[in-house]
Amino acid sequence: MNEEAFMFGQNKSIVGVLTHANSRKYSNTAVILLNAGLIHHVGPSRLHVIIARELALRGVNTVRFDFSGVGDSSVRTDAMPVLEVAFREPQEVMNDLGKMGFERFIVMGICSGAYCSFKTACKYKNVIGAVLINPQDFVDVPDWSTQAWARRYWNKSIFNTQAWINLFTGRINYRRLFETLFKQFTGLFSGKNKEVTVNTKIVKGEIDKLVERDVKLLFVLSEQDVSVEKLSFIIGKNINEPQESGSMESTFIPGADHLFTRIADQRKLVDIISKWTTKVVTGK
Amino acid sequence: MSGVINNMDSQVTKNSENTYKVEDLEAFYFRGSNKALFGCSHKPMFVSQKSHSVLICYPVGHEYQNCHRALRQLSSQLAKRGFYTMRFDYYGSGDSAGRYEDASLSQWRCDIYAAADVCKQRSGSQKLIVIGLRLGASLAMQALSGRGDIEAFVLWSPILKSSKLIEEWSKLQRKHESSLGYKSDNSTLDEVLGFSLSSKIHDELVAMDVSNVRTSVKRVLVLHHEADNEVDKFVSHLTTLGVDTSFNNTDAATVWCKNTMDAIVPFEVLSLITSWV
Repeated sequence: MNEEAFMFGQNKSIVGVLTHANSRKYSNTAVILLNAGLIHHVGPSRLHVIIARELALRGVNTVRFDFSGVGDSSVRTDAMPVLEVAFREPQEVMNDLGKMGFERFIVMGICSGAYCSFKTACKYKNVIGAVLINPQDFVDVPDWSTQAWARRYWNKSIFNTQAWINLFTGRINYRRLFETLFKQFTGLFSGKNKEVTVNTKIVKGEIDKLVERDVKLLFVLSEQDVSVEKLSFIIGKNINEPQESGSMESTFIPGADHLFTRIADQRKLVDIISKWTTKVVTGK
Repeated sequence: MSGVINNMDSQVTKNSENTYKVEDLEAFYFRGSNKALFGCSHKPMFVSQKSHSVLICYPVGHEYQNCHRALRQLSSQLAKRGFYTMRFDYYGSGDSAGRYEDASLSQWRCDIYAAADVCKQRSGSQKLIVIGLRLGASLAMQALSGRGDIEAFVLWSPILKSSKLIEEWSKLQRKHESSLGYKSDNSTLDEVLGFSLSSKIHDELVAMDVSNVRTSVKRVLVLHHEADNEVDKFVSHLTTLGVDTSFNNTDAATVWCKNTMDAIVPFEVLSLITSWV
């Protein structure tokens, strides 16, 4: 495996690693893996490294890097808001990769990495695909999360024996449960639900624009993660079932948790991503 | 570099391209026992008279993931005190070559030995201070105790006998499985919170005992998170060997117990270490 460490960005303070593809067939395309929250660029359970090396075997170049202030990278010295950093720094990295001959990019990430991938894909035309794994924070309204959790509690947890065992053995987030129930009740009268609906429509519009641009989108969702409910809100239909419409696909991994802690689930994720990415890059 | 600006508690340097850097970082690969290992160094933030540099040895598996942020901050703090500091990933972990399931404790000891040489070479220093956390501390002691170029060890909650560690990991994994509503088919512990535990590593861990390690190092700082007879005996053992041993018990040290999103960087412990070195 041929890997190279780089210092990306204007200040050369963004630490990243380029995993070179085993062949030069698709040398103008690179996958960019974005941080899952505060976990540094190797990814949760080293998943980014495993994905990068699997893609290299399939002829695809991959870069993983740390956003400023996360992992190995230094903090920024300007006052750029964090929601702007989410797409500006992938752009800085793409600019540097452009100087190395890369022209097309596929962005991917887990959790907040999915959010940053989405925003980057919306913003830049050289992004041809995005893999959004357990996306959480598309809609910038706190009550959106509450509604997603409420949907999960009513539709799933209430019929799940393990959820009840967890409830009575202290293995759940009681604060979130009570907050959800409280906000659900008060939300009926406050009009906040309307605010969620408006914002959800904005995000749906952004997804539609990506589909119009023929940007390939893959949503990968874990059964144990609330992103299933969150995305169902946006798409407007049940996202649990595998579906394919135009350039958008979604896949569901039964039993998996938010960060794919079980090794069997990690293997499934790597398999899904590498097959999809190869298909997008090769066009076959 | 053309100038230094003091900005509150951090130093910001203006480089030749007229852009600003808060620290002088370098990421690189080096050859360690014929394997490509990933290293990341912090250069001193001012011209320093320090005769030694610092090598940081991570813990392994999910503990590595949980501790990365704290040890990266430690590296940065040491650079601000004038030390060249290097962190690196063992074979099969982080960005280094290989698969985690193919690694072994003996391989990791070789990696530490190689990294110590690289740290000296890159910094130009003759002596090293080695900081290890959990299994990283134990492996560093085993790998480097016989060398004459180690000035001091900082052993942050070292694993002295690994039976406790396996028991702890086993409990964590079972608890995690149970919260997700499944149970592993295997009676043996073959994965721990997202990382495989190969039979080779398991067997090496069972056989590992650092409590009687011999060392010619001059100074050792032992940090621990709870009262522990084993650690008390270990500190006495070091003193008997003529090592100037300092011991500090602080529960703020348990940085590996929290997952990355919840982990607070234990600045109290980092200050303690940077002051001691």
